Amino acid sequence: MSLLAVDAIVKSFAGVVALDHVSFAVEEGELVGIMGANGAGKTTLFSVIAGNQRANDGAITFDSQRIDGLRPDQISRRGISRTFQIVRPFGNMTVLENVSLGVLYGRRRERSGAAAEKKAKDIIDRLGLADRIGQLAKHLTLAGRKRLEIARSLATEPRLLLLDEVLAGLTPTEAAAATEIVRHFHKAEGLTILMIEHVTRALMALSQRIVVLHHGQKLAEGTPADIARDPRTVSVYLGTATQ
Amino acid sequence: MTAQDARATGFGAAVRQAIITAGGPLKALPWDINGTDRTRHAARTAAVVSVAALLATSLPFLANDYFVGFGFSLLVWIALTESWIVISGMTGYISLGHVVFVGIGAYVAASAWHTLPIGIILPLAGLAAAALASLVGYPCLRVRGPYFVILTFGLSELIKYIVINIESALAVSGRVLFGAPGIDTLYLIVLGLAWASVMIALTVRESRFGSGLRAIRENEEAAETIGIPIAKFKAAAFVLSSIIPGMVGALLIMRTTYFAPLEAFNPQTSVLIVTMAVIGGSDRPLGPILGVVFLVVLQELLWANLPQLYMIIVGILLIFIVVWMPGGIYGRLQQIIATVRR
Amino acid sequence: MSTQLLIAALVAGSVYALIALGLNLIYGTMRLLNVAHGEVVMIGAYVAYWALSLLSVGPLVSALAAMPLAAALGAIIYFGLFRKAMQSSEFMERIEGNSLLVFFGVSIILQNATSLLFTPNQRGYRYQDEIVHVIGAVVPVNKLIVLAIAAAVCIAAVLFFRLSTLGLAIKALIQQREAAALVGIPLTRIELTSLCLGFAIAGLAGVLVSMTEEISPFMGFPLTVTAFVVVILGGLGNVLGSLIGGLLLGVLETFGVALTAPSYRSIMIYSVFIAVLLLRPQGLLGAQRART
Repeated sequence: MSLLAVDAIVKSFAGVVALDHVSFAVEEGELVGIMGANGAGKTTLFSVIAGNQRANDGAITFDSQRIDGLRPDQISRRGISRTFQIVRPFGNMTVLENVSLGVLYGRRRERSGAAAEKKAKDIIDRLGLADRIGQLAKHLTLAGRKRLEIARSLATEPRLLLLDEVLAGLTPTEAAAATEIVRHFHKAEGLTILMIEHVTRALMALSQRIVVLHHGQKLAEGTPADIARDPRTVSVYLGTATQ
Repeated sequence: MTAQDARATGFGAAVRQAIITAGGPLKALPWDINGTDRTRHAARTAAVVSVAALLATSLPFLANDYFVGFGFSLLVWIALTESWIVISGMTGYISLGHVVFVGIGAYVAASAWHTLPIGIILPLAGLAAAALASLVGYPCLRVRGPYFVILTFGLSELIKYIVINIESALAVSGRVLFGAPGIDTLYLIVLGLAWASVMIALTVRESRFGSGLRAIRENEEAAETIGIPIAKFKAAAFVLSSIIPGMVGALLIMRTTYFAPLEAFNPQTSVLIVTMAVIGGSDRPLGPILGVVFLVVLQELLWANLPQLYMIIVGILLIFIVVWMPGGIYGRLQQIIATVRR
Repeated sequence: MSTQLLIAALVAGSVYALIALGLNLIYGTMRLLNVAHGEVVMIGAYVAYWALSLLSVGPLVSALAAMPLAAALGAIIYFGLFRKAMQSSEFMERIEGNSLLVFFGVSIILQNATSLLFTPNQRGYRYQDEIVHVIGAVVPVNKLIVLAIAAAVCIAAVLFFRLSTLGLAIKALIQQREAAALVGIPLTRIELTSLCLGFAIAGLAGVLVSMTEEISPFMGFPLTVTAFVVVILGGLGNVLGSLIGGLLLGVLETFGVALTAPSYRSIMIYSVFIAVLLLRPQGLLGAQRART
């Protein structure tokens, strides 16, 4: 039984079809990459899975239960956590407060502030944010804010983590560090990860499987090697000889 | 000459020195509510407020009716502004219709005056306000930002006109309350309400619920994504913020012994609540108290002879605070004390 | 009978549309909630009053002075209050709430300064109030003049936004701020122009109102409220919407009161207002997403 099953999801906005009968599944412990040009529907897919948007048609099953139509906070409590492409930290709160909130309202639903802070500090350490723990989130660099976004999501103790372009806007050094963090949490914690990424090299390196979206449709699915060879993907990304 | 130079020499230095010396005892007060000692600080604040309230109970025995009346006004505004920040300060949804809760409480009290005892009327008024808040809370709080501001104002006016029409349909032109308690009793009751209001604001701020509300204020979508039930929390804060104003409304008409909808639902009250809270500093539970004291004292000095001048000064103050001192008086004081501590 | 009501509705509606037009311009381009808008109208009204009383200058002429005066007031507020504040990101984070409070302050100051200078009493003047008969209705000439001018300005506004470069620039700014900057539209200049234009229109509306109604320092507030109702009806930032919304409100108010009773006027207006805010906050014509 797959952890996550996306079944013929359709999502349209005022006549524009963002997702056109997209289906795929994610097994527990997998790291699946989502690839596609801008406007292919990747972030919309995440929004629909996480509940920020409601699909027009289709079903989403998580842990054998239907979750389409649930509110984001309900879905979060079931164990799905997402980051945003344009990060949304709680700007006027410190790094510690941001991550503590994830512990307080995540799957564990921690009641005690002190216990939440303790767990938050642990995550902050492991994400290399310890030196900035007391800083206001709005004063962090972009790389810092992206890490904070991941840390806050991890604090909710998700079973499935949706990462939306966590490498965008980072310098090569920062990107390498972030990639390492993702790899670590996937391998060491056995976290199931669904990852949108434009930095194709990193995506190919990290993913066990890749799903390619194009104009809202699933274009191809397979291992990184398969995808790299797939003629459809190649033509979409590189064009054919006559172009 | 930089600001630092100015601080080190002359007048600036003298003032700074004076503050440092006088500030010794001030340091013990829980000004700084950031960081992990937050809860301890909050507990200390609560203790200080409670001691102050206890001391304030002596006023009726020490002063004449004029001062007790003045204290009554002060405490009414404190109770109202502190309840306002539970919804508007914490969630960032600025309500411009807070007077509607006061008015409903007043109306319930006026209607039930000759049939029920005060001990029942008071909580009933609070309950009525809470009932209204729960009724309109969910739909209203789905509306964001500027729309919410205008909506709360519209709601308050709508209720006002509905009450006006009900009263005229009942052929009632104003209700008079006979046998209302004297100013001393009313003062003590409102003191209790003001104390409760501050305590609620402090408790909410320190609680898990309060952190959730603040997250909603920072970024609502992110808050929902990490598991905060935003609709429920907003509605809960809204209802919580309505109870004390309802009871205050009942007290207010006991004071004036006369209920008239235009006065009870006066939008100027809502405006003054927002103004006092903003001037004092709407980000922290104790901020509004400063705003209230400032404006009420100013009002006492100017209202009798120059009411328009008072209002003009209020207007200037409001602009000044919003543009140059966003943290309010409280925020500025915090900054000063933080610099002095270093 | 209904022609009478219709003309009354049109007169009222056209003035509401005019006032709302200015408000929408200011909000649309700068996201400023100008709750002092009614006070600018009030100032226009007082200019017309004093021009007639002291200088025997008719309102149609004094309008030519009231409009630049109001625009100047807008410029003073822009440079004095908002220019610096809008550079702070903290201020801009809550621009709508902050601007609301600042304009509150402005409205309080304007109301009370006027009250202090000219007493809080109502005043009025007589201007062109001879009665004429129009398609079975009995109307004073001044109301027809108000309707004519308000309608003319509204039509001019629609044409302006559709045809002139400046109008297009303003529309661009309303719809997509960053993109407008990218294509080279000088934001500050356009913002300032919109603000001054909005204020000027409000000043004109004040002159018009003074022709048919009594004026007082506190007349602005109900007008501000009405303007917001219109703007919400038509959609915040939607210029054409506020024109239609204004007419709609005029019709609703006039016919609604005629069918029920004057005391129900406010209940009706606020009910519609709240219903629109709850059910379709982007307005009957607006396109922005306004709900969470």
